[in-house]
Amino acid sequence: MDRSIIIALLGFIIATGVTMALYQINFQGFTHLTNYSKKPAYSLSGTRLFSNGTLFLQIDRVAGPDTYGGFIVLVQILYPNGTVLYQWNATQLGHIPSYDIINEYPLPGHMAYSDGFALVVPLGQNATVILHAPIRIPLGTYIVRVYDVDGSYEAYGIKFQTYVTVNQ
Amino acid sequence: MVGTENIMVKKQEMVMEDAQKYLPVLRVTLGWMYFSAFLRRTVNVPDKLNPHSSAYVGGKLLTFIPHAWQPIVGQLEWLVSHPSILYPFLLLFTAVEAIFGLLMMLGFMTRLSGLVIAILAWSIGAAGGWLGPTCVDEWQIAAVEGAAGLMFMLTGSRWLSIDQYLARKWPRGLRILNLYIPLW
Repeated sequence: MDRSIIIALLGFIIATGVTMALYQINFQGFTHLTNYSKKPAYSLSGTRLFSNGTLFLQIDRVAGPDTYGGFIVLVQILYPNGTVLYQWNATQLGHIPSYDIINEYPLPGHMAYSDGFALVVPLGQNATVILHAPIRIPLGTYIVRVYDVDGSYEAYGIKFQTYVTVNQ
Repeated sequence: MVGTENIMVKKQEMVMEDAQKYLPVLRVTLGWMYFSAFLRRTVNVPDKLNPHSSAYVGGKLLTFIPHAWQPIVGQLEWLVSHPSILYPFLLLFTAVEAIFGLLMMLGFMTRLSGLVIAILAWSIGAAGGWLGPTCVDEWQIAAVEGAAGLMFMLTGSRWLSIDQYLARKWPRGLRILNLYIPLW
């Protein structure tokens, strides 16, 4: 075959291949189409709760628009049966002192913070937020759950909650 | 018979060279996509390259992480955790976008610029290609610009370009010793 035809076919295959591969990688377009930019989602893995009422809320914003924060307006500690043991509302979450919010990535404009109305978590940021419940928490297993300002605690099949065990 | 074949080949070559006339339609737009990124970060909003500003483009890399292509998540995390490396990386990235965007528009070393632009576009596509709430925005940008870059690597652009003159003078490309590198 002519050398130029081989090069042309190779170019065609590479460009088309990358286009299709990125479609699958970015959006699972050939299996289960998902656009993760539409709604905020949070992962709480690594969250810890202690019997003195201290909650180390590990919050990772894993989906939603890149240009606008995710807004947490409710944090709950629940018994495994779903009854609320304790919760922090929007006013409380909007006034967490900055020293109780530890951001993993030090990038201005992309830090988690309290804005007076909610706890703001920008896309990609992973922050440890320290909250204090004024109660003693009996040893056992609990669910820690957060709500986005749109009222949901689930998006893309990701639940914004995690199971924690209090053992000290 | 040999004569007819020669005429056929000549005719085909003329058609190919004629097609070169239509390449600037895309070339300048493609180059501008990259050159204008440099302008936005230096002329329009210089704060985009200020590590202490909320407009700092370093933050964009952070937004890529949640659903970036798995093999490069580690590198992205490492980069955003090291501000002293992130900053020169962004300067270098912006410079590469500026230089090869401009070269693509001028049609100077178009084949090389096409290759660099394809690599830039596809790299961004692998990192932040999942972003875009309106359509599947970043993937569309990456896929189309990557394919266009690769196409220019294969075609060059020998009309309304600096390469037009270089190709006339040195039709086989840049010569290094006995090796010819087809930069145009």
